[in-house]
Amino acid sequence: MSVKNQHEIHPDAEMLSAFAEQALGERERGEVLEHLAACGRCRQVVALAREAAGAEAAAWRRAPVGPRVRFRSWGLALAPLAAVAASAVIAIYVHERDVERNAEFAKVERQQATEKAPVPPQASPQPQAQSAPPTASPAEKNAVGGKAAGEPARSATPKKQGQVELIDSNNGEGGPILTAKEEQELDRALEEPAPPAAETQEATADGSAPSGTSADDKTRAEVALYDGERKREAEGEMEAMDKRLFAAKAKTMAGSHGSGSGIAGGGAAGSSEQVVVTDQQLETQPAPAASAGALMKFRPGAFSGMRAPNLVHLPSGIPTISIAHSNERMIAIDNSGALFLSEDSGANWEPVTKQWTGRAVLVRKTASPKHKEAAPPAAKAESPGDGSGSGAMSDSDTVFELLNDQSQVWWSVDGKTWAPR
Amino acid sequence: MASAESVASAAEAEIPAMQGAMDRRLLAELWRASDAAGWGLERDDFDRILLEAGTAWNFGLAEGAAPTQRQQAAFFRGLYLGDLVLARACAAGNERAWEHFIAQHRQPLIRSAIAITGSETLGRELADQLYAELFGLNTREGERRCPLLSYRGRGSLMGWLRTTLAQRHVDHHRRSRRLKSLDGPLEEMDAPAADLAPETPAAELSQLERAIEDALRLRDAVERFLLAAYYLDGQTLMQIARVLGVHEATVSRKVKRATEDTRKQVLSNLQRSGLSRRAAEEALGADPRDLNVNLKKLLQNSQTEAFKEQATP
Repeated sequence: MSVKNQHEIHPDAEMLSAFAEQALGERERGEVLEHLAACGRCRQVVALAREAAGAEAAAWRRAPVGPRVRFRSWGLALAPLAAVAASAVIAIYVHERDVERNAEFAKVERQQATEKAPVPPQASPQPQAQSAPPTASPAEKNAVGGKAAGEPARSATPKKQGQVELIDSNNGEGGPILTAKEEQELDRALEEPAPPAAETQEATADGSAPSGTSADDKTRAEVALYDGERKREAEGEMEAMDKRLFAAKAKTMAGSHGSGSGIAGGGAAGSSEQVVVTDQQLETQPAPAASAGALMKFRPGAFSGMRAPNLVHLPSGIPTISIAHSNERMIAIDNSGALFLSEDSGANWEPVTKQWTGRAVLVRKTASPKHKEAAPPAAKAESPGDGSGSGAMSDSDTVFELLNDQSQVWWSVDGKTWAPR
Repeated sequence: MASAESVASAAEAEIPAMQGAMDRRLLAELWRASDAAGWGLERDDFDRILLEAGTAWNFGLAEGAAPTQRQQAAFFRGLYLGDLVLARACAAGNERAWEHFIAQHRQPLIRSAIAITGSETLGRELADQLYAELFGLNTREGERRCPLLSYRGRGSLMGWLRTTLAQRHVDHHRRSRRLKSLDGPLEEMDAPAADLAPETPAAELSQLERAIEDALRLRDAVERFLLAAYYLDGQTLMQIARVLGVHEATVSRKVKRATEDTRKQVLSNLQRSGLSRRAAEEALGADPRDLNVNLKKLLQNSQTEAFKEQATP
């Protein structure tokens, strides 16, 4: 019997070791156990060997575990700090977003107020400017960067790459064009509803002061009422819109990165965007009228006629990402980029044939241009009115605009026929 | 469904193999798996080492049993072949093997010795002593003797080293305690047993001893090991659990059951020897609530006979 190999009586070290390591067969294990039951010396040997093995295993475990334990303790210590930091970031973000939103709502009202205001002499379109792309018009130049009307067109003006300009959505194409002085007066009039941060957002990168125009108390009251309504309407749409808009901008920026253009936008919802434009970029834009400046005008908070997309169920069954309406006429884009039109406030929808390139990401309603030459084809056919003096915009007063994922803009009066802008 | 070939091969595998006539294909497979060639072992040496291990343990079978090829294969596949060839290469004086041995086992050997002795000084001394022996500094009859030659791969090499250390430490401790007991105070000697109650008659005492011996003899090896380790050695449940490879709760449950069964058996034996139940319980300590304490004393009393230690001569 091998148990007695090492000594005459006791199992040898290998047998005891194999017993403790459960490496023996049942028969041999029984024999060793029988011996251990009667032999205190071997019990002690096995117990000590197992103790040593346990200590060795513990020492082996301690070595690699040490740093992890320290890291864990650091993690535990940093957890409250991280929570506080996260709370602070969220609070700042919410506050900033409210501020931005208030600024956007104020701009909406300012835009509507300017649309109702008489057309200033400076905004009288020149024949060349009417047919020219908005980016090349003096009005656009005024809107972009607040430059004087006499300056050359931006596309022809060399700009250093990286120059930052802030685009004001108040100066949408087709809307009344204000001079810098009138804008200052308007902003001054609307200064009270807008929080101070909005003024900061209005500040242009080239140092021009926020513009404004005169407004009466009635306008302010309307602004306040409209503000609350717009807040409720746009509340649910803000986040999804922001994400998609930002994604589209990012895509545009990535696509045009090689040509030296880019968009540096703030991450906050509704914040004013900063656009970096170069001459080369403008010259090579596939749709000059829908440059990045046009994209920047599609700020979610500035949309008029928006409805909560989640309340609209399109025939495609795909979630809606953007809606615009004018009276009972509504257009909506689903998540796949398909456009639908409803003439009965969303009760019935019909798909609209794709007449644009890329993927539609945004739609909005905007005021119809004052001049027929600058209006979309359908608007010409429907002989839009001038809209002046009307309290509410009629279908003919407004046009829909559509933005694709390449920052190009199409417009339409009836929502069916679209033309690049 | 088994094919004819598989049935035939199974039948062939069941044919008892002659001792020493091992399956050549299996040996070749083990040769490749063990990387023995990397340690400078020849193929013939490897086969001889395996044959020695197999015959020393009779392939894990009872003495006299003839192993089949399948049993041989199972035995060989259960060996720690890597450790075995390393140990033999070290014993043969392979420098690279020694470098590997030192890198792998030197520090664990010292840590184990420290854990066994409970003292860094003693531990290092013990480890160095074993290491010197492993290196073959000891000679017997003019021949260098390496303890690694006695390792045959049944357990891990590190486990064998730890057990060897523990053996040497226990043996040294017991030898020194015997020497110390001759010179030291009487209290430090192994107390043979707690004093029995003075009112216990000698006749009842002898009856109790026989009853305990009979009761413990009826217990199986596991129960006797549990009772001895727990009550005599004072090991904790966790220590016993580590030795047996079971959970601590299992040890606790088994110890409790063994204790109760042993007590019942002792009482039964006492009653069979003529004592009444009351007298038998009084012989155990009278109070059943003190059963554990009394049983421990009784086990200690019976140690000299039931767990007679057979020390190494």
